[in-house]
Order: sequence, then C-alpha cells, then structure tokens
Amino acid sequence: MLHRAIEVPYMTTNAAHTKIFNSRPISPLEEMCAYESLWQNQGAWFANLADLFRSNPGAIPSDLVDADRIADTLENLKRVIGEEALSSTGIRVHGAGEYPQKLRDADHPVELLYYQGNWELVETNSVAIVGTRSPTEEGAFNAGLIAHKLVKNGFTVVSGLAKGIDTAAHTAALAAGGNTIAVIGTPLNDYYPKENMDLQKHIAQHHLLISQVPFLRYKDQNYKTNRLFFPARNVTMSALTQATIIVEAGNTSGTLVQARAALAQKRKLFILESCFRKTELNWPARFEKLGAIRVQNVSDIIGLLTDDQANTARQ
Amino acid sequence: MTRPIQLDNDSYRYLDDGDFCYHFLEYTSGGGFRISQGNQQILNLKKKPTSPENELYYKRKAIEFWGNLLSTELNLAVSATNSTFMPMPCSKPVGHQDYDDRMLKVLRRMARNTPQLDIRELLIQDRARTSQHEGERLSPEQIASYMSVNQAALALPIKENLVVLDDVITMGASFKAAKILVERAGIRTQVVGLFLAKTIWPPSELDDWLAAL
Repeated sequence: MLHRAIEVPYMTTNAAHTKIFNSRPISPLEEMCAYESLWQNQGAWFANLADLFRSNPGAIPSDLVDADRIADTLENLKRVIGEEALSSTGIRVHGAGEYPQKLRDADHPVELLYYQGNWELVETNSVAIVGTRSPTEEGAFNAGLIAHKLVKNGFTVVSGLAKGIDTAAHTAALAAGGNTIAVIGTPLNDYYPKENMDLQKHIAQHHLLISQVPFLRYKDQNYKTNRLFFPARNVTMSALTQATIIVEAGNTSGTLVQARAALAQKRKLFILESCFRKTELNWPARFEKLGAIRVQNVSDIIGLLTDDQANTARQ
Repeated sequence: MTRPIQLDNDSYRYLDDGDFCYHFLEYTSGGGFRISQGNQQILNLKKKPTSPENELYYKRKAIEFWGNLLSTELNLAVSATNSTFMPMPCSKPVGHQDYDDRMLKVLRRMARNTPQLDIRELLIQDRARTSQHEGERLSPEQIASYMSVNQAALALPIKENLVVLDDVITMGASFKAAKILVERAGIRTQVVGLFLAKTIWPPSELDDWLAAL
C-alpha cells in the first residue's frame, strides 16, 4: 500500500510532533473522502450518520474509516468530479474551523458541508424564502418583493435554487445588490433545474453555494432516491437561517419540510396571509397553531425580524 | 473545540514538503464582512499599540481569546516536556512606536496555568520593515535579513519541537524566514508552524490575487 500512500496528497500524518495537540490535526480533503466513504455504505442516510457520530462523540469522519478506503475514495472522486473541481470544493466539518454551530439545531445535524464562494456570508443575518416550484404570478412577485426588502434591510436572502419561488428570491436579492446563499439538493457540480446553471455558477463565484449532498453517492443512485436530498436540504437551510418565510406552497409541497424544521429548530416561521386565504390549503392553519407567524405584508416581517435584533443587541 | 487543520503545502508558495504547519480559523483578505470570529479576532489582535484605549481593550480581549483557544487545543502537559514555543516577532523593532509583542502575549496567555512551558523570544526584529499585508511582499530571505537570532535565548537547549506561533499565514514567507534563521543558528529540532488563522480569498477576488503574483 506504500505506493498509494505516496500518491495521496495532503493527508494528515502521525508525525511525533502532533502529540502537542489534544486531538489529531485534520486535513479537509481527507475528511471529505472519509465522509464520502461513509455514504458509500448500504443504507447510509442523514439520520443514521448523525446517530453514528452521536455514538462516537468528538469523532471526525476519518476516525471512522480505514486509511485504505479513504485513499480509494480519493481516487474515485478524482475520476468522478475531476481534480480541478475537487480543489475548488470547500468543506466544513464538525469539530474544526468555521463549521457553523447553528447546524447542530437540526434533528440530524450534518457533519460535513460542501461549499463554494464566500463562506463568511453564513455568519450574516439571513432569512430563507421558500415556496412552490410553480407559483402564481402574485406568489413570484411577493417572493421578489420580500427578497428586495430583506436585502435593503441588510439581510442575506437564502433559498434553494429550485424553480419558482426560490429562483424569484435569489434573482431579486441579486438585482437589489444584496447577498444570497443557495442551499442546493444536488452536489455542487450538478445543476437542477438545468436552466439555473448560470445562476448557480454566479452564486458560487460571487456569493455562497452550499450542499450537503455527497458526490459519489449521488452519482451511484437513481433519480428516485436522489430526490430525497431536496427535502433534506430544507432542514439544513432552516438551521442556517434565523427565519423561514413561506410565500406560497401546496399541501404536499417539500417546502413544508422546512416549515416543520424551522419550528423544531426554534427558528421563526412566517407564512404569508395569502396562503391562509386559499381555503383548499390546510397547512397554514396547522403551522400557525404550532407557532408560525401569519404576516400581512413585508413590513410586518422586517419589523418582527429587526425587533429581534434590537432585543439581542440589548442582551 | 476546534481541531488544528493541517495546511496543504502545495497551496503556499513558500512551504515545502518538509514543512508542518497548522491553523485554527480563517481570516478573509481585506477583513471581509468583519463578522466571522476569525476576522474579528485577527483584526482586533492586530490593532496597533498606539490605538486609543477603547480599541486596545479589544486587542487585549483578542489576546485572551487566542491564548485560551491554544490552551484548549494544545496538550500543554506534553508540550511542556517536548516543545519550545517561539513568537514570530512583529515587523517593527523594540522601541519603535508600532512595536507589538502580541504573539508573545498570546503565548503567555496560553501558558497562564502551565508556567513550566518553555517560551522564548528566539528571534529579534533588528530593523523596521513594512508589514507583509501593507507593502510589497518580501521573500523569506528578505524578511530574514531584518531579523537575528537572540543568542541569549539559546543558553538552554531547544526542545525536540520548536513551535513558531504567528497570527496569519498567507504565503508562508515569515515562517520560512524564521526557519532559515533557526537552521543557520545550528538548531536541529523539528520546526512546527502554528497559525491562528489562514488567509482566504472569496473566489471573485482570488483570480485578481493570483494574477498579481
């Protein structure tokens, strides 16, 4: 195996001097390969991976995977996504560096995130705007208006780069000269829907693109299974933001996953009045009972968000 | 807890295969939004000693922050037996109005409950130079030419690891300069670079930076 060890760049060592640290130093690439290896196991999903890390407190992915397997995964990754894409992929891993502690509020916190762009945006005041992929004209207009107002009030607009409400929110945030974060349901090197490829590339270059989807696992699975990554990313999007705004959504929309997550994570959940007016929808009343806030207009939202900040600042 | 992150030598112009360097947080070039913990604490740490008192308060807080972080992440009991710590001198000599011994202060903060730690000012800044982030970037040899080894600090042998502490690594030039001088002084122990933060560039600025090299 020696030949392989030499080929593997930028992996941690067990050099004697590392004893000066309380825990083994990490190499981001090594952690990414180890994490991808864990996802290669049959049945791996966010819930059981979170359990695995819960039962191994303080462990990082490379503590749980053999070195040989990590090396194999690195070769696979180089083949599948290419060395250049690999080197432009940033990761955040629980236990080191700039991993955001707010992710731990999720039911099954992700141990590792992939990103491209300006990571510091994660620390800005941010609000998620989400909703249906096939909005009414009014819905799309509202998403854009809210994004615009949020930007003008200093918030970063977070959404999922899907068709419809998501696209309207990102686009309006950019048009208003603001910052936006996209939390996507595909790996960083994939685009869904395809027509948002340019938008995704722009966000990765000038803003922040985040994914929790492992490259190799996604590649190995069919569309049907990969679809599950979309609602999973809504849980992460909620954890990363201080509030979620639902602009428009049907009774079976994946957006409702984010509504549940926001309440479970003690984030604010805003639902537009227009959703309540649609009598065929049962979820607005249901979530209102659980703690969601019904809002008449954009000023309400801004008011409730900035009151919050004033309170925090006084503490 | 935030584990040390090993730096990829290939990404640093002046680091080679035999170098072992680690960092903890990140510092966005230009200060970024000044909101990440890394940015805030580095900017505060680097405040000039001539700053007004209210700013120096935050500088002292930053020294505490980084000293505490190091004391949590380093095994100080082991380090006390096998390591000598050395602060990277600032770009101005003692007596200069901008002379700043912040890295020494961070080390002392780290060692506040472990007084037996071996901390030595092994390198001395002889003459002022512009700091790397202000003026033109100097090569390791150029940086080394402004510094010398403090012979008085060599009375006792250096332990098996010589840990060089600096605030930010950008290209590794200062670290390499320190290594050159240490080796010239005949010190043959394992040199380890420890950085509070590494410089990063948002991708839209990275291309500009690479083009300017």
